[in-house]
Amino acid sequence: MEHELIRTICPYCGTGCGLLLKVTDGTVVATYPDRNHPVGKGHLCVKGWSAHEFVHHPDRLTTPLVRKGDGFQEISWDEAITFAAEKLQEVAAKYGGDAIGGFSSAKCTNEENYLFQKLIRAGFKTNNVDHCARL
Amino acid sequence: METETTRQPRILVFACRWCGLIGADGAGKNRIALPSNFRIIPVECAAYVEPDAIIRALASGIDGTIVMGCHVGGCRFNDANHAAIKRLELLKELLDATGVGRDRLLISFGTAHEDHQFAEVIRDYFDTVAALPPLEPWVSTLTMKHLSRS
Amino acid sequence: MLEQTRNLARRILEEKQANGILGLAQGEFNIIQPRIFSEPAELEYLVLEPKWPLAKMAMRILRSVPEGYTLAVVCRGCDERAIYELIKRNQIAREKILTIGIACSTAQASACLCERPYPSHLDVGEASAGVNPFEDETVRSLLQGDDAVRMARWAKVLKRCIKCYGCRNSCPICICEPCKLEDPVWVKTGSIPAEMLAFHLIRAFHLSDTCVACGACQEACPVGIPLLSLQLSMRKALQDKYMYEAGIDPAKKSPVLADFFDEPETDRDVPAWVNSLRENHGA
Repeated sequence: MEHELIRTICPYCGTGCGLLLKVTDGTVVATYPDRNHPVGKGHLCVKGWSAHEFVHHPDRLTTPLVRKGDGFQEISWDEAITFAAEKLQEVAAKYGGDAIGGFSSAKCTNEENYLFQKLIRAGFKTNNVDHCARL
Repeated sequence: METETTRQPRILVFACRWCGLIGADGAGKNRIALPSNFRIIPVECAAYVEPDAIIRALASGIDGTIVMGCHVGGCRFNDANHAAIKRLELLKELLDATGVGRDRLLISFGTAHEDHQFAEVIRDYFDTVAALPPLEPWVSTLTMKHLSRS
Repeated sequence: MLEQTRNLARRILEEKQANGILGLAQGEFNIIQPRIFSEPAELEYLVLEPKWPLAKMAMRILRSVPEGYTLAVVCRGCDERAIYELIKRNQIAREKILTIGIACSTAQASACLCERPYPSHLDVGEASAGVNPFEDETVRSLLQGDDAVRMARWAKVLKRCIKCYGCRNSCPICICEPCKLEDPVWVKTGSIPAEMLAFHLIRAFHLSDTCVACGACQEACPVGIPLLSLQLSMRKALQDKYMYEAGIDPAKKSPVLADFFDEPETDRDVPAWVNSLRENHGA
């Protein structure tokens, strides 16, 4: 029986409160606020308190899925990226860049968001880029 | 607009069917004059009333609650009403601590098995509750919209 | 006090009185967090500050330990009381837990408004006098005086609630699955702040006879609601009328749950809080 307390940052919003994830035998089982953290100072909002719940959730996607008829089929990452790239290029060629909209996330790093907006603005030549908090 | 001070208090009564409800039925049958703004929920025993129900009632716009049961020692279920008293008295401490007021819950055991006794309890309680400050600041659910205005 | 605790912990591990010690460890970059010490050598990292309630963590750990495992916990007064309450509720098996009792300083007792800043099994440190919470200005302004004024004061602080469930999550006694506070029948969902009556009073009442005044709820609250004060009147009433305090005796049931015949002897011929045979029925 392995019990660990891992220090990490809450993935939900830009505030970035510190939290401690309790891991028992490789499974994340509980969240405790991190008193050492200068931002959170031992406090969490409701999203932070339940941050551990999605990690092992049965509904969580673990492989890329492509729609086949009425259902979904598992495919590899390479296939998924190729498929998405081809289809997006098709749409952009046929209807123009403004037909594409990109939604990023506050959970992404600054670097990832920079790349993303570069792709949408310089790549697809459109200003249609926003992030999940606006949904 | 009807102001809070002119509105009749809303009272909810949990009446045990072996005592309080008998009095209530009697008062009804004999058409004893009573303030009308109350509702009765019959329960098998006063111990059946969970304190959370009292809290939920107050949170839903009820101004005062009464729990009616049998004399201690006279409960059909032995000492169930005694257990109820202990629980409900503890709830009154909490209501008092927060300023909501211990008078929002009346524990009336062994008094309401006759129609005139029931009527007296109701009449007196309406007067008690009418004199209390309005519960409104606690009951209205503020939404984020309201908070940004204030 | 720290050296004494480390030595005691070392002895416990060496003599195999326990398989692990739950306490605070100071690691890299001076980060302090709870840790299970399984080897005596690790105890050089053990620290006793800051106050970090460990009872709930101990309970969770003990749910997944192998047969015969004993956990020692570095306990302040409030930790020990919480552990006793959890034992009463069959959440911790008595034989699986060992306490290393440490006393809190007078400064800590004042900060927590604690009446009993020491465990009953005290191993390290001197028991200090404790503080009467009702002498505190803020507590008095909330709990004593005119009803309408206090109702407004409470409403003002409770209005800040963002319904993070931090109070419920950090309370060592809040262990119910499922929790009534998440049930839309009892507490309205989809509104901020949390319904003052439904959320806060239901939570406070569920802890009425079992709150150990550890202050974890208040510390976890991100908006600084004085949650401990909600419990003080009920705790006092139980002390005055039934000589009962939560968490002091692991064998003594709460008077609210105890039998009619278990009431303490008084000179009254009817037990406390029973007045239906007297003049002022239904007070």
